[in-house]
Amino acid sequence: MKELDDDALQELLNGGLLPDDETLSDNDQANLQAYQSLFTALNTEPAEGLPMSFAANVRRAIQEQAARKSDMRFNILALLLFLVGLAVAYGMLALISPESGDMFLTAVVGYKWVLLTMVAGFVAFLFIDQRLAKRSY
Amino acid sequence: MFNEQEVVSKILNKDMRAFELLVKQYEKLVFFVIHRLVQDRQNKEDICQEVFIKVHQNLHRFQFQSKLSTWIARIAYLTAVNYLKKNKNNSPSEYPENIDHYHFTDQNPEQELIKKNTAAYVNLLIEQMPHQYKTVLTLYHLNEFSCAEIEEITGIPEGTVKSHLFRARKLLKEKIEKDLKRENI
Repeated sequence: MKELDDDALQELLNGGLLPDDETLSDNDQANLQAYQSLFTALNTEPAEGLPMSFAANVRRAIQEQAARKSDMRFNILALLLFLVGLAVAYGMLALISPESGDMFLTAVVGYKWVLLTMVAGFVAFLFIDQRLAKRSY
Repeated sequence: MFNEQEVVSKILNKDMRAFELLVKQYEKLVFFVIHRLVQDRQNKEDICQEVFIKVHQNLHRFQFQSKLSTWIARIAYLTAVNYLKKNKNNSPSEYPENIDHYHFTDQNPEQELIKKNTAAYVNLLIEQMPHQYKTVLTLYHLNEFSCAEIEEITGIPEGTVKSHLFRARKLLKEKIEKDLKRENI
């Protein structure tokens, strides 16, 4: 009787074709049994796994990420609106009366640190508020 | 029943309940890949989470040219490989110079203790194998992918996948037989 090599035995098990015990030599039978128990062990799922709440945790993480992105967009928009507001105010004043426009510009440049501190304080307030606000998903 | 196309289109319309459904459907698949490739127990859940965040971010690119499971498994595999590259404190056997000449080293006391439980012992032996062997064994036996699908997931040619699979199983069988013989002496 011709003996089956390891590759042939594995191929048989892969295809789910189990030959009769009588058609196999003793050596082949022993090898086949060894491979069968190995296949069973390989198909056994690991004992540990992910927690039951995993899917909900992932959903929460994605929603938090999206909320952070949207907050950041809002903060940048607020900053841009402030800057655009200043530019529009200057432009309109300059159109109505160039002197008033110059005065406005001088005031802005003169109080630049106060203005910058106010803007930074406003953005920081928004940022802290967004971090502290508890969202329910 | 889980309808891939319906769920994907719902997710693309910002339905987070549908996304939770997708996570539940594929969390085992992702966990098996990460569990086998990443030894660091504490980070496994975080890496699985990272995989699903990537799935959510890139779902609009999925064109249904392959099965969704294959696409997700590829993301899981690449994320695990990147993690391993970043944390290069793996054992030297992870990346042997010539994988075809890989063999198990002598056993340690932990192996002796665990030998009674075949599945646990096989898992312990797999942990020591190079990551190519771990990957093909996991994707084929636990995730039930075909060799062609494993090629799609890992980029390893189908012929090589088959030879890794056969050789890994042969190595495991021989190691277990050798240990059993030693025990019976």
